[in-house]
Parts: sequence; structure tokens; C-alpha cells
Amino acid sequence: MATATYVEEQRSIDKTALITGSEAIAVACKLADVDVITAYPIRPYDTVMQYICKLVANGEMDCEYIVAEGEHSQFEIVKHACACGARVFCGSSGVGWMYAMEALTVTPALRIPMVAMVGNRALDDPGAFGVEHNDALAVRDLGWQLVWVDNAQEALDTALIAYRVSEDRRIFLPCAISCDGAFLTHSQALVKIPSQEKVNQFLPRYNRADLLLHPDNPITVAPQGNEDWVMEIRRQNYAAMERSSLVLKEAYADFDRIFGRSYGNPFFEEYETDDADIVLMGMGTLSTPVKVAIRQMRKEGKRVGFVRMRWFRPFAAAELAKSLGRFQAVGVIDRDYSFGSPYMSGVLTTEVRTALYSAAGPKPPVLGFIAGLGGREVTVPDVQRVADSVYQAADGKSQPLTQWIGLRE
Amino acid sequence: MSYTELTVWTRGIIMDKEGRDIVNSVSASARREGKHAQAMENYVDNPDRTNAPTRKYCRISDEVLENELTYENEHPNIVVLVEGTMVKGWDYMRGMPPGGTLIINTHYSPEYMLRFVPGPERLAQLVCVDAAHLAHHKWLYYRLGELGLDRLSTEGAAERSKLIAPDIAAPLIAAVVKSTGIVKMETILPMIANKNAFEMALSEMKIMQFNPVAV
Repeated sequence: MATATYVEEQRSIDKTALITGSEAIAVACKLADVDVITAYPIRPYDTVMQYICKLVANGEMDCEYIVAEGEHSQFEIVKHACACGARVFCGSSGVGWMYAMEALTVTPALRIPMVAMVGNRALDDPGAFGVEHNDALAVRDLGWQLVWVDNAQEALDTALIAYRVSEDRRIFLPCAISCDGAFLTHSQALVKIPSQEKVNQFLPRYNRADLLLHPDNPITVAPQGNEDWVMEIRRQNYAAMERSSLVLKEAYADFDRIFGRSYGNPFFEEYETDDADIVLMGMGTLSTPVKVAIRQMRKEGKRVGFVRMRWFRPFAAAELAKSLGRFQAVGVIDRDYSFGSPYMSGVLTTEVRTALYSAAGPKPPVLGFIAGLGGREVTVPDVQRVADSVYQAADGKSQPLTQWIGLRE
Repeated sequence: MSYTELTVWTRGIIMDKEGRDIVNSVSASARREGKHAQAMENYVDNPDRTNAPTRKYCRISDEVLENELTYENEHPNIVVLVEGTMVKGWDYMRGMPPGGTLIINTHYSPEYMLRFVPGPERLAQLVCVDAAHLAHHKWLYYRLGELGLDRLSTEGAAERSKLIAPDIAAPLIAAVVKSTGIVKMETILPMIANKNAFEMALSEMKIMQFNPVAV
């Protein structure tokens, strides 16, 4: 099921290739010269392990490639390898990611800079192969840096940035790159593949220094801490996550300088917001139907914008609140659920409301929308219905705080 | 605005690459001609199973594809059946707008195959091409049931996977391009590994034309 790749040489040393989001992540692993990779198949992440496997088989990539007996071992193996100084890559999807939960919990706690790819997939039951964000969001409180990308180029670039930030001595926290199942993992796009020289310039070698687990450097990893030390160690994780925003900004600035590709604000992308009355928000490939709908609505004179949250952890609350304060109302489209949460809203909606509540500036009303669960397509008319409701809220008319969109009656 | 959907029906594992080669080469040619195009597999078919029906999609447009995240081709203008017996059993004509093209890999004539096609009134043309014969594909041509066994070995797989359309996909691509003009012959031909089968198909394919339908 691997997709044929047509690579076209360009004049510069960079190349352009027609590849899927999963292939883009695999190419990033090759460029980052990852040392240890563990794999265990689950759709849609399995396409990444296939592409990496192919790169290894073709002699294009040199790494230790281990097929584990399950996701828990998969994540444990790279965790230990990473403690021993290896640059590692891992990934999973949906229930596979959840099966690794115990390993996912200890990875940030041990300050392991693992980079993982989550091919977002709905959690069972009932079984579904399509996208939902609840799998990656399950680790949102644990110290994982979480990012959602919406195209293959961004997937490749963000993977390189993830290694740079995670392995920074000031951080040493894992990072999970979320790619929407099917929509991003399985669809092709033209991707600029940077030269190895530029990547080497951007990405220093992984160096654990005095934290290296090695016979020449006898240290204890994962001891029992109890009430004696656990709280201080948690506080160190807190401080590392606090520094993550700064290190991310540095990394994006360097990325722009070396690769000549700027992402503007690293934390969220704004689309048609300059003159917008209202904005919609969301994460991942939701951006495609939303942008199409916005272009159509603007032809009808509706000034609608879009803010796509890229980094969910760390969450750029102050910057986001400052930006959202410019608009009359905000509609957040969640591709996830959080049953029993405040106002029964999705995860992103609750976070956006929290960010706005403590901000000094204006606080536009925030409506929550749950859409596209189980991989259901979010259509252009769906987005228009969302915008209509947000416009009503902007006019001061009462609207439900949480609405389900595209639901069969 | 010109917008075309191509859907290829094939059989999992044993003819998966053939189906993929058709949509990938047509999509890549369209991009080279300056159009917007995408090629993809039917998400829920993966991972495919031996002999199970699987679908591959291609979309070509003069403008940016705004439906690129839609899972399936809902209104295929062109349908290809990579294996002839697929003509029975499922509704590959579903959603086809009037004026469509159906291309079947078979040694039978279009006049004979027409009786199995559900909803033939939507067709502008029915094309039959004996792709397995033209590509000298002995397993597919004589002993379909053994094809699965043949592909259980990975012998030759690496060499084969590097080529685009080394066997039965080549005549089928020729039939798609000649009967529909979806891309230019000179754009796609350099990509095709089995040029002999491709060119033979151009003269040996059988086209049954129906009354043209105003679109």
C-alpha cells in the first residue's frame, strides 16, 4: 500500500517530492539521522513505519529498527534507548497510543526527549479508522509537548523543530506530532525536502551530558521518590514546560533563517483575520474545509477569519487571548469530546475560554462546536452553520455554548 | 471549470500496484500539465487483503481541489476495472454522471460485457482492453486463482516496485488516456515502463460508443 514517489530534482540542492504526511515524517526521521526506531502497526500511523522500513531496506537510512510486540514495549524500548543517548522516534494511533499509556506517563516524568507521531484516530468503541483528537489529548496534562499540523510540509518541518526543542537541555521533554488520520497521513502533497547540510546546521547532536545512562556515568534513573522528592521533581517538569515556549520561538526563528520558510507565530496560524468580525478556531486538517468556507462567505460579504491552533502544549494563552480580543465572537470547532466538562464543551473550547477568562483585554463570547468525530468529514455547509451561530452570538443573541455539527438527526 | 474523477477498482495485494500505478501516473501527468490533481487510495481498504475489492482515486481540476479531504470519489466520470470478473457483484457505476467511460480489462468484446454493467445508460463509451494478454501476464491471463499464491513470494518485488506500470497497468493507462483524453499522451508515456504493451493497446482496444450525452 506504499504510494509511489515521484522525486523531481530542482536547481538548488533542496528537492521537491510528491509525498504523504506519513512519508514526510519518515523523511524527517531520515534527515534527523534518528538512531533507534520502534514500530508496531496500527492504522493510520503504520504508514510511517512502512516508509521508514523502506528507507532502511533501501540503504538510505541507518538506524536500529525494532518491531516490538505491542505499543507498550514499543514506547518503553525507545524511552530506554533515549536515556542511553540515542535519538529516537516512535508513533502510534488511537487505542494503540492508549495501550502505551503507562510508558507515555513516565517518558516526560523521566525527562526523555522522545519525538512521537500520533496518527490521530478515534478511540474504540465502536471501531473507527478516522480522525478524532482524543488519543493525543489524553496526555495533555503529563508533560508532553503537543502539536497539530495540517499539511505534509508542516509535518516534515515540525518534526525537525520537535527534535531541536525536545533535545534542548533546557527542555528535555517528549513531543508528540499529531497528524489527522487519512486526511493528512494518507494524502499526497508537494513537499520541499531540505538538504542534509541545512538540517545539520539546524539540528545539533543529541547530548545528554551528565544525564547519560552509561556504565562510565553511573546514575539512577526512575528511583522511588515518594513524598520526599516527587513534588520538587514535578516542579522541574513544570519549569521545563514553561521554558518550552521560549525555546520554540528560538527554534522557529532559526528555522526561518536556515530554511527560508517562515511560520509566523509558532503557536497558532491566523487566516483572513485582519478585518474579521468573527473567527473560527480548530486544529489539524479542519483548516481545509474552513478555509474554503471562509473564501465563499467572504464573497457574500461576511468577514470571517480562522485561527488554527498549532501548539496545544505549551498553550500560548496570553498571545491567543490578545489576538482573540480583536473579534466580536469566537467559534471553536473541536474534533474531540470531553464528556462532563464545563458546559459540556470540547477540550480546545474549554482551554480557549480559560485563556480568555484571565486575560486583561476584551473577552468575546466563545461558542463550542463538536464536529467531525470518528473521521466524519466536516463540510463547507457545516462550517457555514457554525459561522451563522457565531454571528448571532456577536449580535448579542443567546446561543447554546456547545453544539454538535453535522450530526444525523 | 473542468473537473474529472477517475476511480479504479482492483483486487487487494495481487493487483494493488496496478491500480495504484494508474491513478498515480494520471495524477502526476495532470500536475505536469499545470492542472491540480491528487491520487489516493480508498482509506478503509487499507491494509488490503488478497483478492478483496479495493479502490484507488484520482481527481483532476483546472482549479484548486476544494474537496481534497473527501474520502471517496462520489461522481466518477471514468471507472476502470483492473480485473474483468469485477464487472459483476458491486455497483461501480454508482454516482457516475451521464457521459461516463467504463474501461474493463477483458478479452471479451464491449458488446458482450455491456449486459453485466449496472446502469449502462450513463455511459458514453465502454472500452475493453485485453491488458493481461498485451502485457504477457501469464498468471492473470490463464490462472487467476494462482495469482495470490504467486504474490505470496516477495521475489522480484523490489525491482517491480521501482517501475511504474511494468505490466497490465500499461495497457489500461493507454485505454484511459486514448478514450478520454484526460491527459496528453506525450506527458504520460515517458513514465510507463511497459511501452510495448501501452502502444499495442492503443490500436487493439475496443471502444463501443453510445449516443453522446450533453453534459
